Amino acid sequence: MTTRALWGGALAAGMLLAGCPSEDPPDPGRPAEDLAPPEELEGVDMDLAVVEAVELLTRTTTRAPWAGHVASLDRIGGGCPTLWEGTPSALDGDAGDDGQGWQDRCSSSNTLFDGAVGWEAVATPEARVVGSRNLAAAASVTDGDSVLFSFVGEASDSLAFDNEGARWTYSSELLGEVDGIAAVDPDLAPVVGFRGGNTTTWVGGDRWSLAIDANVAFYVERVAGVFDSVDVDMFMPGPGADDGGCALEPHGRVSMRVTPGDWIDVAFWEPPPEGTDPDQNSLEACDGCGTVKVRGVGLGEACPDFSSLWTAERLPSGTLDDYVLPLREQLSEDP
Amino acid sequence: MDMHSFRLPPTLLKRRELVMCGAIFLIGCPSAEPDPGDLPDETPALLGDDDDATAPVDDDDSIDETPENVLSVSEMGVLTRSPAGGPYTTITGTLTISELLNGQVVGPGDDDDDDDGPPPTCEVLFAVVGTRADAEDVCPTCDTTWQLTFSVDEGNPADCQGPEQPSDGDVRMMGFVQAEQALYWNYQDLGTWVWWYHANDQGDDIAVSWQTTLGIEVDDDN
Repeated sequence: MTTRALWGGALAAGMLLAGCPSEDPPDPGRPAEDLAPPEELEGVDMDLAVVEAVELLTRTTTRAPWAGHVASLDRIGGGCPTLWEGTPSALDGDAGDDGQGWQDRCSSSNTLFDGAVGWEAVATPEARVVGSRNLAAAASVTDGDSVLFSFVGEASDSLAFDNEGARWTYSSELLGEVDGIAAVDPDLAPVVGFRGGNTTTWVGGDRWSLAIDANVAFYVERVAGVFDSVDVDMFMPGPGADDGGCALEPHGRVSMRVTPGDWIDVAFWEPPPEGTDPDQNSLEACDGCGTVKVRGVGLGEACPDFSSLWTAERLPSGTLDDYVLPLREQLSEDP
Repeated sequence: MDMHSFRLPPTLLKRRELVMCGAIFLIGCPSAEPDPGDLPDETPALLGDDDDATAPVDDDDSIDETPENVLSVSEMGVLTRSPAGGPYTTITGTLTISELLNGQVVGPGDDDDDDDGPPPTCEVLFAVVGTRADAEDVCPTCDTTWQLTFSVDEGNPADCQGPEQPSDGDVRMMGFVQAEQALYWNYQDLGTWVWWYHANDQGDDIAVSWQTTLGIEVDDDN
């Protein structure tokens, strides 16, 4: 049933409500207007919105704050900021056994360093994992009125190759607030500031899949022009992947929030619990479409097409150099 | 894709009560309750509410601009190429690593150490020997590339805390760039050549050096 048809049904149902017992209101504690879909949804293509939301989340991984961090290191000079061997004292976290950091409030030329950052980059050419990186920070680096890099939180990621290099896996965990003109994924379109948590595993090459468990609010971007936050828990099997029982649609849920605060849920097929009849337990059919709801009330369907994710241009690139970050020259003082 | 677009019929925009009734009907007339289990949190779980997130221990007004503990690190040495006058095929020399916690390190060759300062917290003397690298291993932007072996003559490298110092028996590929007066290292044999030492050549000798100071956390037990 399409959304438009549902609206027709809603209108018809409204006409029929005259037959409903008036002494039994739907929810005495809730204003009647709350059950109407937000007006902001008018004209929103939910098929495209779901894809846009997921695509936007792929740009809010560790790669974004790491890029900002690396760019800010180019501004080091004149002993500013003070560099650390190991994790700076102001950070609760641990950047790693071979970690480095900076901690200061100082200016180098026009660049102001304020806060503390700890990081570790480990390249492992002999192993399946190309490299891994950790970043912990409560810091900002600004150039005049322009924020170059700002990150409060923790992030880590890794890149691995398997099946003789035919398959890559990029994994990222991020929890924090990211901002700054340099804090953007180097390969993908920039996202201008975001906050929240994002755990992503992206597999590509000879088989494709994307798993995301994220809750991210965007400072500027608006999915489909109206959604300011995205809350996703889904696995999307792509070409060549084990579909887990349904290849036509994501497994899980995509939720988006319109700016006034309403969450729109799109519920997709979910794998049945182990030991149960797979035909009996999924509330959603595996048909390529999910049910759109607002406050639990169904509004129609969204049938997103994720094929745009399964292209080489979308891959997070990665080489050994991305996991090499010695500061030897920046650390050097004239002998 | 319009079939999945949300477009509020104008009449419904003006009659939201009808929409409400329709919604009620669709989920079961007369009073089915929307399933709250389908709703995500109204407020995303953001960092500010998460005690596990890394953040400064204190408020951001209290960042320590000066580290409580400062490690001074000096790596200095002289490498001599031979045969004299070139073309060079081998290189030998020494590298001394000196570190001092919360004091100014005095590197080898400095004659003004008048015994007033504290002793280094670590001092290691390496013997360095090397040969010119094969063509396939050379640094593409260097004038010459050497395969250097570092062997401990005196001291214990485990006492030192500076970043990425050689250990006993380490073999490192390093390339000399005369125009930059610098020595580059094939970082961890990754094929990525990174700046590693100032390297001033005088005749057959190359004087290598690197000095820095770093903030560092020190265990109270130490």
